[in-house]
Amino acid sequence: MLLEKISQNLTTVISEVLETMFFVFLEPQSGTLPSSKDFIGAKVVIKGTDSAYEIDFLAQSRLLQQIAADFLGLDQETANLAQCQDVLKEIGNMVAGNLVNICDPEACLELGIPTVSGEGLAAESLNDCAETFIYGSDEGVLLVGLNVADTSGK
Amino acid sequence: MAYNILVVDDSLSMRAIIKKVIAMSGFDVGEIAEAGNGLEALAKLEDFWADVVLSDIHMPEMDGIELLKKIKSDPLMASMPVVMITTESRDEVVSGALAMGAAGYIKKPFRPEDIKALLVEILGGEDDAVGEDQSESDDCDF
Repeated sequence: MLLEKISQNLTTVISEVLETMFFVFLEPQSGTLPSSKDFIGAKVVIKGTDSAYEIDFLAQSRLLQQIAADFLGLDQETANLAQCQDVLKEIGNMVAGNLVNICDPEACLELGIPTVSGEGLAAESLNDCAETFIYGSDEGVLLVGLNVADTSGK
Repeated sequence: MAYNILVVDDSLSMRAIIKKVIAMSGFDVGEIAEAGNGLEALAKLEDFWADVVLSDIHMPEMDGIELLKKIKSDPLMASMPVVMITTESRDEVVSGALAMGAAGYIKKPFRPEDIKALLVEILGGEDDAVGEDQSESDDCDF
């Protein structure tokens, strides 16, 4: 099942993308989701013939501001919301794209364009996801939620 | 010779990073123009000659594959090298782009050296990379 393959490869792909392109090292974490409402979100949809898979990315604003500032060569305080959202969308694009490369070598799936899902979000917004992963550093956490939606008949 | 380069990506951040990598590559760069999708790129190319186009694939309005087709089917632009910079590395997509005339393919995430190496290959070799210490430019980060 594709969701299982995505889940198996997610941590490796997250590490490759963040370390190669963003020089960020996040460790997989376990436990409960943070209760704060300071997350910025982006999502990428991967469409198959009769199913759609959604990957949600929620990053704590302080962590994302640090990643965006380092990536763009700015002071942390000067990375604005739009820049943070753009960087998170690009992280989502690279992660989802590389997962598709691994999990769908025959190119049956269509990779969607990443979209911003909001700001000031709570981690609980991922409660409905089939699987949730936590990656963290001293600056905060990045949450990744995997979901599948049946689109047969649409 | 100063080279003009067009960077096409719907992400402002990616365009900024690619421009930074080009600037650090040591090439004699004239103008680096930007576009947010294929349609914007074609509009820009109406009055801008690019010695190389670096384009993402997944973009709104017009994607990079469609842009590649348009450039290669236009007699005035057909000789313009187009390099795809994208997360896509599935064989079907890569071989499809190369068969359509793409001059090269760089997979995201990339290292600065990947872009420099391809520019060297397309724009004429190390001799055209001027004014930068080689080891310094190879070690550049984002």
